[in-house]
Amino acid sequence: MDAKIDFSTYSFQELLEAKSTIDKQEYPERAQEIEELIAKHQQKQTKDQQAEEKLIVREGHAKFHGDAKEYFSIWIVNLLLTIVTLGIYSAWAKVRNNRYMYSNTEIDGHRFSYLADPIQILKGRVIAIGLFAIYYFTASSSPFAVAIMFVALFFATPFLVCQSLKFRMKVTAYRNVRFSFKGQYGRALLVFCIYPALSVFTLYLAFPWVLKKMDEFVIDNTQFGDKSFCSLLSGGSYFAAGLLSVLIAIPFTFVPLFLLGAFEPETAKTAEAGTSYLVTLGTMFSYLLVYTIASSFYQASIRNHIFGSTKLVDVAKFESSLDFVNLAWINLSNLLALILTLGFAMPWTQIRKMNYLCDNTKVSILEGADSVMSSPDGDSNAIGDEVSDAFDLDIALG
Amino acid sequence: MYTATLYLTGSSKSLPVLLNIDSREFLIVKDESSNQVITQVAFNTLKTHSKLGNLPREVHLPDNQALHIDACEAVDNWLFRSTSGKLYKLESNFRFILTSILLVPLCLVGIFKFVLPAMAIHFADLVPEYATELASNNTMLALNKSVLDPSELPENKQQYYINRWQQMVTQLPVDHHTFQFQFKKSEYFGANAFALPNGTIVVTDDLVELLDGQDSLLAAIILHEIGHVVEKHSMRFIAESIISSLAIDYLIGDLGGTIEVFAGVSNTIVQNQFSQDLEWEADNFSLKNIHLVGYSPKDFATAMQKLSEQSKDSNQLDALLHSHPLTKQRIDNAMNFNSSKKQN
Repeated sequence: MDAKIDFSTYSFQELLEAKSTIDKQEYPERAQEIEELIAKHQQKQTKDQQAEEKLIVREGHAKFHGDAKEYFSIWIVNLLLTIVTLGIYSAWAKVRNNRYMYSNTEIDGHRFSYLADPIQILKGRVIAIGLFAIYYFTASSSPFAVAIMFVALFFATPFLVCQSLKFRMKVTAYRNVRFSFKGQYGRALLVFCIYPALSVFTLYLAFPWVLKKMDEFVIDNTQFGDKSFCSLLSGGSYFAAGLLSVLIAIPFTFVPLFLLGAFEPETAKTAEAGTSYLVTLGTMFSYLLVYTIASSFYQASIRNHIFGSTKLVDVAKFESSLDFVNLAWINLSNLLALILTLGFAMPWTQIRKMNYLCDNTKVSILEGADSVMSSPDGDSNAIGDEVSDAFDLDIALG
Repeated sequence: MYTATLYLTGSSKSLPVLLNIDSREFLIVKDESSNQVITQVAFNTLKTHSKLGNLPREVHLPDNQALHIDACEAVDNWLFRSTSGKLYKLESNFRFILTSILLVPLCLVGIFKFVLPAMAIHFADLVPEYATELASNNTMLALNKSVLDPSELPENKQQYYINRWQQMVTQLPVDHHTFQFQFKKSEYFGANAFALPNGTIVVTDDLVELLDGQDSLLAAIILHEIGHVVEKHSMRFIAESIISSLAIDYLIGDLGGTIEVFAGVSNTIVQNQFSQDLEWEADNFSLKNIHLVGYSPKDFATAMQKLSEQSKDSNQLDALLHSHPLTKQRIDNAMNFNSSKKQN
């Protein structure tokens, strides 16, 4: 108990933790020592920050040049070609749509490039469809095979996540330098499978922390040429965002349910199928409403947090200033537009969202931006990405 | 002279440049400020990304340098002289865009409504018998472990109905050896009956109690289930679900978030549509054949009526996902079937 603890080896996070847990009455000297060390760390941080600010060469917002009318024309023509070729053309359509979005995104006067090869995507899709068909067919024929499939998918998920990110990064370039992803299976298994499974035992209370680990894994393993992204995410922000999203969802869940409840006795009496259809529609719509509002809140706060605490070492710092109300409005009205136009508003909704995201993304260019070296191309193909898509593994930050 | 950005080999270095395309064979790249020639590249060594919208034209030079050239007509004419650029032409052709707006929904409806179900019929025929048998046995096993309990109906009543139905099947234009009847008690299903693809038809105790003594009504429902088996609905539905969910995913599911939700909802609606079509087919099978066993479509209507009075929302599955057509329409269908028969 009395052994001397060497706090100087503690990280800043650990010191903060130690401060909050230490019994000040019993160990005044230790508490004092921790306080001093924390102060030192804070001084160092402000110094680092000042030094960094000197390194900032330029600052500016991301710009999006996409035009809804132009994109609609491209999208609808490619959609028709996809349909009349019974899906074969979909790989080319994907490349064209993505190219349009990437190449219209500009940071610091330079645009992104999307470099995927349609043939690779097509190959990936053929394999993905085969696997999905086997999965679906087996799952519907034998409930016991489902269990086996489930285990297989559990262990395949981290692999697919890594492959998918590898591909997506590799086909993204900026200033003629490609991005890359260095994540490994073992760590991905821990972060995407084991942690979420374990969080069940905390009744999902620890889930925000799991989400933080996932985002950290994705960011810290991403590289731009020879430069690494580096994040300093805080668990607190994830817990706050998660908790508040749930709190927001509660009134939005119960108010519509309560209103629907008023219809219930009537339905029971008349057994009029039309009314119950209304209830179904109402339930579905209120679910969409709740989901969109709560997820907008989460998305806004987590994106702001991630951008604010992520650096591309020597190259850039980021800032995101999404506003929950604006984002929720955009997401909700986009959803409504999609429903009312039976999907035809898709290009318009994407352009609108991208405009909003870019308008609220600030990038500070650091001194090293001109001297990023491209790193050798790693091996990567589209199979993992397409299979992840087919199995609906959602791979996105925040 | 046209403006562009030149990206140098191997790093993020770039510089603004001016392009001279006076020669048809050579692209001359000059520094913007000093006007000094940086490089001169032969046209046939350039790798140019296809023309897309008004994007800066992306050109890769042989030594891994890249040019982003601001789009303009002269540059386009020079760069894309040997490629047809058909896609770009279609994407900027007003009439073709209008045509697409009309054809996309038409084709989608055609595919989902006719092509896919037709393909599914072929698929169902291809499924070997042992696969159907395996699937049915496993499903039954799982249901027995989860939502089905042994029947509590008296033995003699069970035997009475089984005999009646076995005899009824022999009067139908189907292979009557396939069919097997079982009774199960189930709170989950309520008053209901369902068929497995191998011809096992399960009737719940609640259904028998609801319609007890009214052989004609039970027969109408059993005929509906036989319709599912004869027309291989399980396998057809599986095929339809696989293809439609993939198609929807690939058509609209590319960019997460709200769109994912939209894709999910569309998928549910489309699948329910398939399921409803199959229910109609089974209904009509029952109505078409019911006179062969000595009853009339009216009995089917009455059975539906009784079921709807009893079950409604007690079956959560039905209330949330409308996999079945509205009962009122099904009753109307049966009544109309009746009258049209009489007229003939």
